[in-house]
Amino acid sequence: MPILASADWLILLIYFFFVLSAGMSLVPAMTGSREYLQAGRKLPGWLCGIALLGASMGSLEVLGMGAAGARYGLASMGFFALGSIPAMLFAALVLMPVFYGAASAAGAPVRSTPEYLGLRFDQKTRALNAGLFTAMALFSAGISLYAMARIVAALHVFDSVGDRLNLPPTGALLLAMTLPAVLVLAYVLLGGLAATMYNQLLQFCVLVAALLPMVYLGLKRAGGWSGLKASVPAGLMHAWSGDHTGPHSMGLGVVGLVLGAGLVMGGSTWCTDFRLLQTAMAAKDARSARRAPLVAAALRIFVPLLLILPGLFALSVPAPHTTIVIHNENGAIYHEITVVPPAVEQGQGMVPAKADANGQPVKDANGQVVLDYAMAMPKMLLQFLPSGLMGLGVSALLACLMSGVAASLTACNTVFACDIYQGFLKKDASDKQILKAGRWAALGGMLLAFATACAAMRCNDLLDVVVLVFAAVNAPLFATLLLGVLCKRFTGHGAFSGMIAGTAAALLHHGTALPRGEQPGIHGGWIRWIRVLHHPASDMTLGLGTAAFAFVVSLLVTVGISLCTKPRAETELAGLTIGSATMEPAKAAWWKRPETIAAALILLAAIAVNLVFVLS
Amino acid sequence: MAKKAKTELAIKPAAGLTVKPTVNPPIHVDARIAVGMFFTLTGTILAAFGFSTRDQVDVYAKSLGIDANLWWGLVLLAFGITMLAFGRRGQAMMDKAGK
Repeated sequence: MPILASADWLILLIYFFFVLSAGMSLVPAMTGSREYLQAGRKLPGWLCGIALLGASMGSLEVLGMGAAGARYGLASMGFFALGSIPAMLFAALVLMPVFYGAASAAGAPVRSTPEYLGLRFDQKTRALNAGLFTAMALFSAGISLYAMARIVAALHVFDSVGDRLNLPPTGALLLAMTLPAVLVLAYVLLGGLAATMYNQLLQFCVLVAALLPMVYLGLKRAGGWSGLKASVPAGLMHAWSGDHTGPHSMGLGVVGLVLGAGLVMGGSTWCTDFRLLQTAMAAKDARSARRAPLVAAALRIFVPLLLILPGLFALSVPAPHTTIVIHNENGAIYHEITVVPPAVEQGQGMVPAKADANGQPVKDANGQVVLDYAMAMPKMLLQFLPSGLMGLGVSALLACLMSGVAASLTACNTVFACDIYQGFLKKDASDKQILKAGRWAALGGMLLAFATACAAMRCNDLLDVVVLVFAAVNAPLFATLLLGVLCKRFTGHGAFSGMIAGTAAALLHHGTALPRGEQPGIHGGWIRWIRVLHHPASDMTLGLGTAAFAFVVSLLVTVGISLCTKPRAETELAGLTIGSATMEPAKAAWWKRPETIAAALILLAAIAVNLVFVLS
Repeated sequence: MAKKAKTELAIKPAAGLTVKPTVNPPIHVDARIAVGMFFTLTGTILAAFGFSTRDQVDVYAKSLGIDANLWWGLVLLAFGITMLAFGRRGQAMMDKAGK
C-alpha cells in the first residue's frame, strides 16, 4: 500500500501552494534592501514571536527532541526547558532593547549581529563573526536539509514519484532534498525575510495541527499516563533523577545541567544566534521586539509535550515483526506475509535500529543494537495518522525542514549583504545594489547548503559535526556579546582575541575528549598527537562540555585582553550597551512593567509544567 | 486590538511628514489571513474525506477506530475560520491606518 493516498497528496500540494504564494504576495513590498532583509521592520510582535519559535524548530531540533524523548525519557523535558526558557526571558528583558535600538552614528538601525559587533567593538571583530557565522549557518542548513530528507526518504513518502520518473534508488532521497530546497529558495528570493516569517507562522501551525492528534492517539494507545508508565522502562519516567549513571541518563550532574544547558546552550542559541534574533529585529517597534521572545517563550513551554512525548510513546508500542497469516477462502489457501526489515524488527518499540548497507542492524562494540532515535517522532506519525491526516503529517515534517533552512538562508543573506558586501567589498554600495547582493547571496547560500547536504549523503558522520561547529562559533560569540552589551569597559581587541581563543578552545576540547564506547574521529578525540584526556559519558555531554569550555575561555580572554587595552570613548558607545540603551517603557519601577510581569509568569508556568511531570 | 490601531493612526502621519514623500509602502498583508485560508481549506478537505470514508474500518485501524480525519478536520476548519475572521479585521485596521 502506498504511504500517501490522493487526499494526502492534495493536502501536501495545497501546503506547497500556500508556501509559495506567501512569497509571491510580498513581491510588491520588496522595494529596498531594508524591506527585503528586515521585512521593513514593520511586523507585529506576536508574529515575530511565533516566527522566532518557528525558526528555532528546524529539522535537527525537532528530530533531536523526539530522539531525546526516546533516549533519555522525561529527563530531557527539564533539559530542554532549562536550555530555552531562562535564556529567552533574558533575551527579552535585557538584550532585545539593545540589539533593536542600536543604531549607527548616522542613525540607521543595526541590521545584523556582526553589524552590532562592528559598532560596539571594531571592524575586525565584525568581519571575523560575519565569516564564521555564514560558514556555520550554511553548513547546518545543509545538514538539516539532509537530516529531514533522510527521514522522509526512509518513510518511503516519495517512492511512488521516484518510481514513476524512473529515478535510481537514491532518487527519492534527492527528491526529498531538492523539492523543499527549491521551494525555500523561491520564497526567500521573492519575499525575503517577510515571506520567511509569514511561512514560519504557517509552518508552526501545521506542525501543531499534525502533532496534536498524534500525541492524543499515542497517549490513548498507551492506555493513558499510567499505561505509559507501565509500558516503558522505568528509568525513562523520572524527570529529575539524581542517578546519572544509568543507561537512560544523560550523564550530567546538576552543575553540568545548569551551566551547560541553561547558560551556555540556551544563551548561545536564544541570545546569540542571528538566525533567531533576525525575526525579533524585524518587529515594528522596540516594545514588539521585546515581546517577541516572550511570546515565543510562552509557547515554548508546551512544545516538549508535542515533540518529546512522542519519543516516549514510540517505546510503548511493541516493535513490528514479520508475520504470516494463513487463511482459507473458498478452498484456496492464502499466505499473507508482512515482511519487516531486520533493522526495524530489532529496534525498541517503534524506534528502529540503524541499518547498514545490507539492511542489517548496526551493533556497537558491546554487541548492543544501535538505535536510530531520530526516527522516533516520524515513525509515530506514520503509525497513528490515517491517510488524509498523513498528508498533514508529511507537510509538518517538510515544514520544519523549510522553516529552519529558510531562517539560515535569510540570516546569511543579511550578513553577506550588510557585513561582507557593504561592509568590506563595496562600501559605497547603493540600496539597490545591496538588495541585489542579498538576493545573489540567497542563491549562492542555497547552492552551498545543497552541496553540504550532498556531502552528508555520502558521509553520514557529518551529521554529528553540527554540534561541534555550533559550539565553536556560537559559544564564544555569546561570551563576547554578553560582555559587550553589559559593560562599556570591554574593547575590540579583547572581543576579537576572545572569539578566536574560544573557537580554538572548542576544537582543542573536542579533539582531546572521547565519549565512552566511541572510536576516535568525528565523535571526538581526533587530535592524534595528544593523548585523549578525558571520557565524557555521552555525545551530548561532550557537546555541552565543548560549548561550556569555549564560552569560559572566550570570557576570560576577552576580559584579560580588554583590561590591558584602552577602552573606547563613552560617547562612541551611546545606545550600544545596557546602561545607555533606551528601555521602553522607561522610568517605571520594574514590577510595573508589563514585560517583567510576563516574564515572571512564563517562568512560573514553565516550572509548574515541569513539576507536574516530576510529581506524576 | 482597538488600542493598537489608535497608536498606529497617531504615529503614521507624523512619520510620513518627516520622511521623504517617496516612503516605501508598508507590508500590507495580515499574516493570519493566509493561515486562516489554509486551515479552512484543509479542514474542509479532511472533514469531507473523513465523512466519505467513515465506514471504512481499515482506514481508521491506525487511529484506534476513531475517524480522526472527520473530527480533526472540523477542529481545523473552526480554527481556520477564526483566524480568517481575526485576520480580516486586522487587515481592515491596517488599511485604514495606511490611508
